[in-house]
Amino acid sequence: MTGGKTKKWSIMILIYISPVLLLLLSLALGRYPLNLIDVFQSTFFHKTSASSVETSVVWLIRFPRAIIGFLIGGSLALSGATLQGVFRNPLVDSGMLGVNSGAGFGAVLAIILFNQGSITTLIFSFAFGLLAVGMAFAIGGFYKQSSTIMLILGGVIVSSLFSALISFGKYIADPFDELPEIVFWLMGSLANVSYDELKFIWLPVLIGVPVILYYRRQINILSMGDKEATSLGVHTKRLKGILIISCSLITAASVCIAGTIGWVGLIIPHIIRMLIGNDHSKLMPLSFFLGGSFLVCIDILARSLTAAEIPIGILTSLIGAPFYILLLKKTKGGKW
Amino acid sequence: MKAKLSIFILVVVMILSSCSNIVNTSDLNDENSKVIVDSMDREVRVPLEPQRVACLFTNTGHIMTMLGSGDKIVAVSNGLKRDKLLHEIAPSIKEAALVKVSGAVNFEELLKQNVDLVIMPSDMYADDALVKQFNKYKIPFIVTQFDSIETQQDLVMMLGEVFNAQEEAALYNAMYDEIRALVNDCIKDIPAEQRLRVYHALNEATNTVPLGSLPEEFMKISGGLEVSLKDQLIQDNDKYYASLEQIIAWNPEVIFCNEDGVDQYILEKDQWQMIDAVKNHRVYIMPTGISRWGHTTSIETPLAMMWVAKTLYPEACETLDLKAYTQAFYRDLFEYELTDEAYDSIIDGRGMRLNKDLSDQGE
Amino acid sequence: MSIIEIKNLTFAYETQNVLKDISLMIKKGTITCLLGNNGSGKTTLLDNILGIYPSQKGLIKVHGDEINKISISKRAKYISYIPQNHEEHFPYTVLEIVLMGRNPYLKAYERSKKEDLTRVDEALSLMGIMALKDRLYTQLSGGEMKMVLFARAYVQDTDIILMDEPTASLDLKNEQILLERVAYLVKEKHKTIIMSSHEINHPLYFDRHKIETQVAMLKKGRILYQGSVKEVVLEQNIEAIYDVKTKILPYTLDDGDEGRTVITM
Repeated sequence: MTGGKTKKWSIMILIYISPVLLLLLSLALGRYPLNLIDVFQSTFFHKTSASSVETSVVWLIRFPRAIIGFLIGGSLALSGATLQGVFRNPLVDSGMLGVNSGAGFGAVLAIILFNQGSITTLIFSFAFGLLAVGMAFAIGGFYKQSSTIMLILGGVIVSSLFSALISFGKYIADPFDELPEIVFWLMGSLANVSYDELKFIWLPVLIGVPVILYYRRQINILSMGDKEATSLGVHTKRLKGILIISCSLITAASVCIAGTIGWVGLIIPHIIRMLIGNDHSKLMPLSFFLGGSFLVCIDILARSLTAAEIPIGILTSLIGAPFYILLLKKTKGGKW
Repeated sequence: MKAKLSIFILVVVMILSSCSNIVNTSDLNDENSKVIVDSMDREVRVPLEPQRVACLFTNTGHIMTMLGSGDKIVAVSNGLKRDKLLHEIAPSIKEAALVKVSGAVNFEELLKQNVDLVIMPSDMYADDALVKQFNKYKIPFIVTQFDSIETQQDLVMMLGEVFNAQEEAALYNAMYDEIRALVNDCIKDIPAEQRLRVYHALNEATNTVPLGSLPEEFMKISGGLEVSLKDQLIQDNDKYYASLEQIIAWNPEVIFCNEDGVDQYILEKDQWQMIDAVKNHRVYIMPTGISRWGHTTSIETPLAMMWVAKTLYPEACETLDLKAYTQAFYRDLFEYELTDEAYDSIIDGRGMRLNKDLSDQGE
Repeated sequence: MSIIEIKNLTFAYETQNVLKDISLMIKKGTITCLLGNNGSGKTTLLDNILGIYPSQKGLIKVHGDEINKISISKRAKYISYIPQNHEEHFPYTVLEIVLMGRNPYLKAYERSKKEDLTRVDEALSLMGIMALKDRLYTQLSGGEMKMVLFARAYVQDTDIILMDEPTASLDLKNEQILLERVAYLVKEKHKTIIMSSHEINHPLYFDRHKIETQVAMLKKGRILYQGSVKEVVLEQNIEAIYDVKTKILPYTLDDGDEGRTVITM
């Protein structure tokens, strides 16, 4: 038993320090040839070992990209873990419940209506993400018995509805790709992010993530079902509301920047569940960190695997879909 | 009962007659038609004088207008619905039916227009199902494609033949050659080390020029060193993208943008600030007339050539009178007298196109 | 002084009356057995006492306050609940599940403290499942699972414990252990227990152990008979409730204890 505990501890420590390592790797890799140590020396010790271009490539391009990638990955994984607990369903995440496509549609709508990426995009994205999860839940509730599968079905319906609306919006708006934003982020890409995009995500993350982490122990209780959770002193309706709104907020922020990146919210919490266990007090922060590291890692792969940059959404799907099949098999369609 | 039967017969007759109508229009023989070799080396039998043409490749609409057949365009793709100047020159295009949006053809709408010739881009020809439909309804179609000055000139000649306007076609090509030679004369003595590194954003900021394209060829003639040719680009269908770090590594001295707004984006975005072109405020939006001059299929490519050369090397190209050539270009080829004001707004490059929903944003 | 007062409770669920005009007084330190067939309204009555449903006719008071006016967190300090079927979607460890019982005493953001862990250990030894502490709940037997939920209710430190068919699906030995623990909690810890059951011998068991036991017999949402074991557990009442003919036989154990048992005919 103690051997198992030591192993768990080392895994946890590894997960918590992985972002630092990946951040360094991410700063070092790229098309522009440079020596990271030189850049660090000139930034921190004011030695002129690196040119100003090298310095700014690292700090203006690679650094925001890595940070944003980390925040997005973390947000998606955290909201996946949360939604799994809230809906007592290990097979959902924000993508499965339609939040991603809902938020995506909201953003497309805002871009079509107002033409520029702005705070409006975030608000629209958030509102439609929330609407999507509400719809998925409503559809899932039509048939009370096997709500696990029904909820996923509801999510599939809502997802495809909003995906269709996205394509429709793109079709009307964009015969000549005049609005490159739309195209870019439908594929899920971090290729052109800068500190401007950081503006979008830091506030939602700063609000949403602490709120979710604040309630992380109670998510355990929430996953016992409404009746038991109430008897254990949890205000289920209020807590679910708070958590779903927070999840939609951080998901919407992620979608606004990098488009609909699927699967992260599903894969990451499950890896933690398998390695560390299901206690959400540990699971939640670990999911955030591993999710962040995962996306930074995927982004590094995306720009170094081939000469052409692969959209990260494609890469996460390539990894996520087979993983989900394994998960379905392991959970036998609902229970772990 | 009898009334019902007669209505039924009437309907059938109407349907049949409308069908036969379409078939009749394409009933071509040696007397009422001629044979044209299109860009895919197909031999196509087309009417001697096509009267109702569906123009599904934006730039061929421009060429047709130049060849004096703009009024024969009855069906278009949405690109042709957006250029304000073109609408002034050939107002009938405004009224033409929109049968192709975002690559998808509304075939029934096309049939309704009762066209006797279709001009299409090669990617449409690659769509077997679509080609089958055209064959089934015996609608003759010409496939057009070009990726260099030579093939562009060939296309103009071919369309000149189709619309019996060989002289105008030859005039365009002559003007093309003349400008090309003039520009070449001015540029040729500039030593290699003084030539400027140029980055050309075709659409979005990172969408750029690949090897073997029209913009690549004209940039070479204009004396710009296209930086994107140095490296492997990211390909997405027929578009090519550079990564931001590549662009920074190339460090272009001048950036040209085709699209209104992209120049501001580049000038404002943090990550672009370390590039010489941005530092020295040498980010230009290219002129837009009938088409965006820097576009991969622009009919104004010869003018673009001259404009780029003058922008890059104002001293060496001092003798080139862009305004005179531009005015001559529109006057001689389009019979359109360019006012000073109109010239300025073409060169300015902004507000010359309608939004994608065809609303006018400028005013 | 009654710890729970129910007066004229009528409860409808999706237009169908499930409970009709129920009145029940429950004293501290007693066991109340709700007897009746499936669908007689036992579980719904427990849910109402838990305060799960907000709108209802009639009155339920706990510690003198109306149940719906007590905050959820305070309620959780008054009443704990052991469900009949606990469906587990995530494989928590036994420790993690029992720790949830300490939630009413922790702030939302607080993690479990040393004191909570001590309480859990205490509860696990009391229920005799200390060895299961680090096992996964989903891998336990039915009896073990019930003990875990029992331990969770115990660490919740409430005066009142509601149990929904606690012995359903337990084997004979586990049933015996569970009844012993229930008797212990009432006798030694002065807990008040309300349990639903369809086993008529349960109240007789508690009665034999000299525990004050109240019986309420439900049929189609009404309490038909209510009172002490001696007053209510009668052959004609059982027949009226269950539609089964039975005989109640007295017995004397070796140590001289006297009891009664119900046998079916």
